[in-house]
Amino acid sequence: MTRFILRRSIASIFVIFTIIIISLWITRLAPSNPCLEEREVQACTCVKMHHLDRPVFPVYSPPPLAPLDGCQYWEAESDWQIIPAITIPFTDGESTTWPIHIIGLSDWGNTQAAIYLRTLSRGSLGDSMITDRTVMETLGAALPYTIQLGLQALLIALLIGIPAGLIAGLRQNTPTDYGVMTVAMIGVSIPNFVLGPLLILLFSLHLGWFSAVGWYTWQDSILPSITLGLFYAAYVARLTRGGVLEVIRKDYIRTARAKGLSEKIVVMRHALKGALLPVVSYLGPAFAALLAGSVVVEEIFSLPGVGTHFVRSALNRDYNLVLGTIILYSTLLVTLNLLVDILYTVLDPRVSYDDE
Amino acid sequence: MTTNLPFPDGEQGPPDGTGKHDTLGADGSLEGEDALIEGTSLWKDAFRRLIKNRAAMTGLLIVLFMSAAAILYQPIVEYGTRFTQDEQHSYIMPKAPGSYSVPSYHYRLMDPEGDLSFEEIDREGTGTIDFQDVHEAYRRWEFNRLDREGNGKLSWEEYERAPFSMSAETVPDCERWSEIRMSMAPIEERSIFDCDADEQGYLQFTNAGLLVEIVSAGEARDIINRLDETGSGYLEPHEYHGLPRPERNWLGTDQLGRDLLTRLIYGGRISLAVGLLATLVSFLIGVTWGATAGFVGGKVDNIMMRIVDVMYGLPFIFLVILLMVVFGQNIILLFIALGAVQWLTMARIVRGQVISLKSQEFVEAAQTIGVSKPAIIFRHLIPNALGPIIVYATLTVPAVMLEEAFLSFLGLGVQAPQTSWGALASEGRQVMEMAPWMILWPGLALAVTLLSLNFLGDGLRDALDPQLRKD
Repeated sequence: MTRFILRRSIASIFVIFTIIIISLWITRLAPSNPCLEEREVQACTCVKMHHLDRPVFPVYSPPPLAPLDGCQYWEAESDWQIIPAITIPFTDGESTTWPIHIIGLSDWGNTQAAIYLRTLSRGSLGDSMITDRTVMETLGAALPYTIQLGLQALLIALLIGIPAGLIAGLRQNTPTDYGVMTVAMIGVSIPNFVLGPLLILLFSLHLGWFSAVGWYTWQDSILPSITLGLFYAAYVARLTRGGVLEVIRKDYIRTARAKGLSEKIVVMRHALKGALLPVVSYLGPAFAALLAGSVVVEEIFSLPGVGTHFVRSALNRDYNLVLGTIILYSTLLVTLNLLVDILYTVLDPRVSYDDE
Repeated sequence: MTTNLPFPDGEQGPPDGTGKHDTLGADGSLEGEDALIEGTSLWKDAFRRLIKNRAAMTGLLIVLFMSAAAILYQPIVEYGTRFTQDEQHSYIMPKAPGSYSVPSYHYRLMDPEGDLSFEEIDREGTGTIDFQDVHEAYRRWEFNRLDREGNGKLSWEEYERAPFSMSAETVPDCERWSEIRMSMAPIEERSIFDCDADEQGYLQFTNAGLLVEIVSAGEARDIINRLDETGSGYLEPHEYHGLPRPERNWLGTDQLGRDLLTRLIYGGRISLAVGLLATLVSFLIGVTWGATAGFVGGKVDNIMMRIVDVMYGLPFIFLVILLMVVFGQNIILLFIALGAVQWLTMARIVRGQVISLKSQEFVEAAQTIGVSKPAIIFRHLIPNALGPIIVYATLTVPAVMLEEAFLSFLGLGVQAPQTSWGALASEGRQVMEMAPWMILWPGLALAVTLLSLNFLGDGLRDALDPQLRKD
């Protein structure tokens, strides 16, 4: 088990590193940059402060910004070789060509990627390029909202989904079963960005029970959590039902019944554990989807969470904040997936990761 | 880790085309020798099971209906609602479902008989038409339509039945009434009767004001300017080529006055296209990857599947969001990005299938006669593994459509003037207080299509993999 955790952690670090590199590349490829809005003199400082005048990667990178008038720009110790040209087909419908920079080894440490990785190694996520707060502060303030939203949504999903699936599975092919499963199917088919506004329309604007936007009291978290959680409640119900049907005909259940145990104990003690396995293995993808869903839900309800920062900073080209958000999301996901895998071995002793 | 697999390895019997276990068909005709000779192929049997599944067939019909509407989009626009999605109108308020508006001048060319005649517009008989005549003609058209009794005045009952765009605040007093009427501010419809109705409680044409206006004065002026060749500011009979009659907006309009039904069909076209094409991309990548891994086996398999495992952990959707933010407005990128996210599960399914198939005799036979490895994969293994592949592909379509809608909702997917159901829902959300239909209909279209596809996918799974049936 320890070996498994260790191996997975190393793999996770590798995954997160890959994501950082890909995101660095994508953000720098984007047209426009965070210093564009500034006046010329400030733009000069801005470019220098964030090292935007340097090449992004040692080998292939979009060109650094062209020098502004009166700006002393960074100069490479060795000349770059510029090999023209590689075609990037996806910008504004027309092909754009970027040169390839081959940089002398001595300048590798001065690329934007290297500078960013050095910042990370100091345990910092850097400064926001638009606001004057650090990325850590910004995300630290936003994270509690996203976590609370996600946990409440997950709670709703499990509290509604598991009992519903259990009931449907135990009363297979009865009207109850069909009813529950049809409702679950409808639940899986309503996108949360449709459900959210409709809930606002009904409960906030029409009935006036909740406030439509913002997050100031705990009541404000109810509608967003329901919006985010109902889809997963429906999905969990379907999974639980499938699990119950799979397990209920197994020999060990028959043995339990034959022993004369009450139906309640058979279901709760014996069947439930096996029936929940599909749900547990879904938790990993569910976390990923919950995080993605929280972006939309935060947008709909104007919540000050991480997702709002993510979209806004990507639009503003706040490189550091984008990267910080992506690192935060990836770390969350990778950690949660690891926890799910460990939970799985606890629930199902047959699964062992060590002999892989 | 194969725990995420919806189709655990080796659970299916070999669908090798002989259909051994399928001859015990629904008609129970094992005794008759003819039935034995004819046999029932796996596909025939699956088809029969699918037809019996009412939910799946309803889903299939709805999906076909939506696709037909999307494909026939142009004719529907020309002969139906006659608005296209890129027409700009100067309305500033969305109109409720069932209200009328005037098709753009461009589209009236489709049906010149539907035009108002010169005499109908020039009611005073001055021999020329100016913008006030046009405005007046359309107002009168609307007034007459509402006036069901045909007595030249509107009662509250007649007025109330008409679908109007909105109602909100009450008008404080009748003195401010005329000023409010001019400013297009939201008004309580009842109040027009308190202020403008005559003593008998009827609204005369002259008092109906903006409430019977389907073409604004500005629009009427636009129409005149477009037709006015001499620059005189009015139209002479020879300059007049007809003006279109108002047409019904069955689902209302958006805030630019564009017919929502047309936009919905147009958006459905893109939503469905994204769903199909991105699924195709994921299908191609996933099948090739999974089949190669499963067939080659050994170390290659191990490495390829580890890559899939690692990628399962990636927050792909955030990279897609980032890509769309950065490169935006590129629908081909959208197809590829969404497809590239969805191929992982497909690869796992195909690998499992291929592993269970590759030790079968027919593969050995092919190897013996020297068929090349790619040919074995694509000619022998994949066709036999097609059942689960089709099922999963069917279930991928709604997943991709949902993701496209999600991106468009954030403003990152399909860009104006193109639209999709997600983009329409996004527009609708911004005005949902005064125009709830603008989010309701796109949301409904999306939900119904996703529901149908999900039912269809489930039905296909039950039909093609009887052993996987959970009941």
